[in-house]
Amino acid sequence: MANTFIAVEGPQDVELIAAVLKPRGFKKKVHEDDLPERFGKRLIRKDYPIDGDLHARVPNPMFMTDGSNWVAIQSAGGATLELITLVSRVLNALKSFPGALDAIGIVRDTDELSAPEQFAHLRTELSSRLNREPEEFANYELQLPMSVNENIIDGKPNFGIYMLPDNEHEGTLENLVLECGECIYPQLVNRSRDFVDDVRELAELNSKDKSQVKKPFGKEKAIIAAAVSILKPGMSLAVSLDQNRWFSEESLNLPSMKKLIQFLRNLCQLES
Amino acid sequence: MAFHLDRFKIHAFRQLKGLELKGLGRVNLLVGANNSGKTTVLEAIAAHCQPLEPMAWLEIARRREIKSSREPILDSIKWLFPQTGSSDVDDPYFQGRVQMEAEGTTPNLETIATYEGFIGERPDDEADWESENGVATTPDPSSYRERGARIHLSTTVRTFDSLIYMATPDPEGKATCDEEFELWESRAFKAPMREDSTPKSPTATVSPFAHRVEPLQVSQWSKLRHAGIAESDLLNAARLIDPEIEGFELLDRTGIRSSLFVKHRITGLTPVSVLGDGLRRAIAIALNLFAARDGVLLIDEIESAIHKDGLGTLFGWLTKMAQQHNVQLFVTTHSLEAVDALVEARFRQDDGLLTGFRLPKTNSGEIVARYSGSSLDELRHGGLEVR
Repeated sequence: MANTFIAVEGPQDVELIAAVLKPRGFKKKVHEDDLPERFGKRLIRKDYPIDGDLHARVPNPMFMTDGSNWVAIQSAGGATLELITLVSRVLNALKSFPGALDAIGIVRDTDELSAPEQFAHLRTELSSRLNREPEEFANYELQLPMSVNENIIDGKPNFGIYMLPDNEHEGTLENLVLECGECIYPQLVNRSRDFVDDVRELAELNSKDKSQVKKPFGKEKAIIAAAVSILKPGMSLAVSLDQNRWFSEESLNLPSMKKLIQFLRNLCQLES
Repeated sequence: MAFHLDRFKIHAFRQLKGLELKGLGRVNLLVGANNSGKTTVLEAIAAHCQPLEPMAWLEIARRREIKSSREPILDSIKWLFPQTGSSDVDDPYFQGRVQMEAEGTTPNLETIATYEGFIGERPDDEADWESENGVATTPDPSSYRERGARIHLSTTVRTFDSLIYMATPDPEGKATCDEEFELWESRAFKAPMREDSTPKSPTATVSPFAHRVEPLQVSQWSKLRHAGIAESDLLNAARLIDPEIEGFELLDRTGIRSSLFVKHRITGLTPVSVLGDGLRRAIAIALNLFAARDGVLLIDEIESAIHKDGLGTLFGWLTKMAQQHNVQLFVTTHSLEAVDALVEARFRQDDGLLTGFRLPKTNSGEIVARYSGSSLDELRHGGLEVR
């Protein structure tokens, strides 16, 4: 029995992790009363409205359990800084309760540097925050993983970092989704790619439009969005990842997905 | 930066055992569930800061009790000592030991108090007899044998302080001073007369109902004026709650006792006793803050009687004054609004000296959690619970 918290960049990353856990018997829990007192309940926001915005969603973790293990997955709403702030907040929130947190993980895109460099940068920033004050995390025995090749380290709690798409190459969640899409929806993805290739250079797009079109990994995001608009018209990628077949038995057997699954199995201390 | 207390460990005091607060700051916020020992920590600090003062120990022992239904002082004191779980609550031979240790600029490094219960012949001093209605009576000679307790207080000070307190240093560079007194079940306690030169620190406590104890305010006001505290300092605190207040007066209208009045722009001279709870609370906190200059101020349930909209302003003033007068604050609260107001006050003062501690529930397996001001800010801006 283990409690794991995983910080990810955005809501679609939450669905990616959930998709990996579902075949392992994990189910979402959405009622506060179902959550463990010293884990889930201490991680729920109780403030509304967030920063005075009446329409902003209350950013709570997604809680999943297989009846024995619990995993909380939360979008940080950003990259390095936001991920570290979220991890620091969770460690602070649970430090009264020894054993409440068995593992903590970060899943981040490799969209600015190479995987080893991005990992090293994240690790440096994380180390700086966790050592901000000598006594702040004294209730834990925290260590940080050393490199992309040794990306989980034992401690109290265990700590893991995974770089998307495959802990090796530069890329993002979208690269992984595209790979899965090519496996499950090959024609839809190919035609979406043709469509995107066709329209990216339209003359009617002005310089401001093109600056968006040419953003890093913009093409991959556009291809997936085009496919999602067919599979789930009007819905977000996160909804489509949850409700369509992007991550089904066949795609979960792809080498890049197997690497992610292995990371999560080790981090969450799962048997299968 | 060194504070009066940088670290404080309660080895044993009431029900608390082995509770350590490390990395204390200028303003120390104590949160936790009911019965987690927040008030007990304040009491332990108060005792440690005045370790050889019998009257301070008696006052701490009595502070929780309502005057009309007090336990005999012997029993009130006994409950400061960890109980053994014995079924005989009246065990006359109860023995207990209290121990606290500290680091910081405090002169007191360690405080040890022992309680040794006995049955013996009470010293004959008819003038001191108490009856239930408070009227002195002549005792029945056959009842001279009764429960008593010998309280031994000791404190360890540093070598450089040993000369001041007439203590002999040991080879480790520490020296011990002590004090002993006896309590009897039915005899009022009289503090021994001696020079006021024991190692102690200025200490003041604001209980949740302190603002309703008028005589206390009169005596504090008088002491502060004698000590040279400007009326304007107190006025600034009162004006945070009611800007119409123009000054203070100590008046004796009955010829029996004096009362503290405010000069109010609308209501004129108005006794403090008829003011709203919030204003009286602010005045009580301010009076105690100045009384604790260069020492510690202990505020239990800081949110008591103050409207949530006034908390931020009051705490901003309080943290500023605490810095200005070198007062270390220890405050307890159950209120998230109070936590948020303190976090905000810290940032308004641009002062990284707020520290929070969540005390564990008794026998729950939980441990003390320390939060820096930044951690508290991070948690509360993330909407998470800290209590």
